[in-house]
Amino acid sequence: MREGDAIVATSRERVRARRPMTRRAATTRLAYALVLPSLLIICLLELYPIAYSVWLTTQDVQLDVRGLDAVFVGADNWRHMVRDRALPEIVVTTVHFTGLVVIVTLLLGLGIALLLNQEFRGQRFCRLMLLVPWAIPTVVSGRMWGLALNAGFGVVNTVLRAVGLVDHPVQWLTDPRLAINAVAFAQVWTNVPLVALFLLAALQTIPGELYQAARVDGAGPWRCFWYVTLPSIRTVGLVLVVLTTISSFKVFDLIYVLTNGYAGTMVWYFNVFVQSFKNLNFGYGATLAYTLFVVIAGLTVVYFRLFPLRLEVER
Amino acid sequence: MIRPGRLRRALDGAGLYALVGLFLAYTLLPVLWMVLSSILVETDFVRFSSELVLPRRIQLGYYQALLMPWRTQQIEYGVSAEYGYFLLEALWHTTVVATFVATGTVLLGSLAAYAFARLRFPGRVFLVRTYIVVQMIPGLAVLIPLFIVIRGWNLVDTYPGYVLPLIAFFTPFVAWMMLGFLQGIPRELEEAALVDGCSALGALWRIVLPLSVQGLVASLVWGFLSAWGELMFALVLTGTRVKPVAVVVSLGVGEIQARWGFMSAQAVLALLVPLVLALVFQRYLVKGLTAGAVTG
Repeated sequence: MREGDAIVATSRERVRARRPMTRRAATTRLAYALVLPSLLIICLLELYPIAYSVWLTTQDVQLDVRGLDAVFVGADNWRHMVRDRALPEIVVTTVHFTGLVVIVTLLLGLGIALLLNQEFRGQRFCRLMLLVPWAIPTVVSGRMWGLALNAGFGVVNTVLRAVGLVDHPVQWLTDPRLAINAVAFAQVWTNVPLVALFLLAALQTIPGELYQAARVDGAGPWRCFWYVTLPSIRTVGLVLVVLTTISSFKVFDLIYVLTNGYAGTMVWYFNVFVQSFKNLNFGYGATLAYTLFVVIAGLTVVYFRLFPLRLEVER
Repeated sequence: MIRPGRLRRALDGAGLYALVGLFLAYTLLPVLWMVLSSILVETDFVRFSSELVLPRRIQLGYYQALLMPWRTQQIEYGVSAEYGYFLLEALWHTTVVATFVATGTVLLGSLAAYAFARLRFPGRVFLVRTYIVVQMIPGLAVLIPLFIVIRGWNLVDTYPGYVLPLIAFFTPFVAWMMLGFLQGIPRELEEAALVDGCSALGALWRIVLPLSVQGLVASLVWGFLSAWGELMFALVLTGTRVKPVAVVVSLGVGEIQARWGFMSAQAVLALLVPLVLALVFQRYLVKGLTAGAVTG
């Protein structure tokens, strides 16, 4: 009996000892089977091209009917970028555009989030309508603002004239001093819903007790806002600054439709497009694109600092 | 839950509603203005827009020309029938593209998301980070080499040559969105199923899938909308055999020699499908888009 018990016990132990190992291996296998399809397509159509573009930066590329004709030029593209006379102005335009868009989008988004966080009749309708500028394809927004900002018959000029703010039609999309701001205005319109949604979601997580406590301590609405609301949405706000900066770097559709890069609206990203697909200078285009990629990668590091991954998994 | 009502009391009711009015005007008026331009005769619209002279009649000629080109006999309102066929074809192509992209991204993205949310395996954190970093890659940095690759495969201006890159491009975000949803599903339910002898895959199928319908719908709609409005890849990777509606809308006055009102009508038809989808599935979308941000 005893011996038999001992045998049973050891075999049980063996099973117990072995099971976690095999189960873990099975889990790993399952996990990779699940991740593999998406990983494959991402590697093939995103990471491989990115690696390919490193090679492109060292080439002078000509496309002809038969295919690709690339000549190794070493660091010529990079040297060309450093010396490119057009770039300083493009950098200034990009920074101007991005700064303007980020500041206005965040402030306006916060305003809208605070407004839609109030209780009033029609609040749900307003939250629904907030999605409209987000849902509309950006090309269509471009068309829309092109219509409203038209210098000849655009309604924006008409209204401004009617209230006496300007006395002659403003050339919103052709005046080099104004056009980039007009594009920024359209960009804010398309980007503000998402920012407002994030901030609204953050506002809704603030417990009401915090406000009660602040009120008991004699805080007025402004102090409540300053000491309770703002600190609570700080993290989301910072994340949104990073995300809005990245998305402003990547503005394309609006410029393509509204100004096509003329009138002082040539930003870095659009310049990449023009160099590669209009001038067909793929080597130089890839070099410019790669530089932007590095800048954005830097911002991504900031993003991870602000917003550490939280994956609660135990198995 | 007690809502902070302080700001509201600070502004009195009238002030609040003035702000609400401003908000609605800001979000809706530009769209309504474009719709208006598409249902007025050109001269009426220009006079309304530039001198605020109220128009007296509306017309649906542009829409008729675009939606029923076979009934457009002569050139009316400066529109010829071929533009109508052009747009209808583009709307169809875009529907095909967006359907494939949405299905593909959700299929691939949610599988990965399940592994990220529920399974512990070596390389998990690294992979999740990769999927986030990939989202930040500027499209053009990929598009330049991608164009050369796709051209080498002879896939430019075909459905796969456009759909597959978009799937690769949108999948990481869908995986991220689904991860947010899946983390919100209590794990105890699956554990109970596992204890009852269900396999991990069985638990995924019978427990997790029914509970993540909201997330799947949100991801599907997001994928569909993103593919529907995509312009940059379309300009480079498509042409005449595949012709997304975004490209058609992006053609300027000079390029198609049409009226403003006609272009507005085109743009309105291009925004209808995404707008309706977004409004119908608003609750799921909002939940999905903000899922990651708030819990973090």
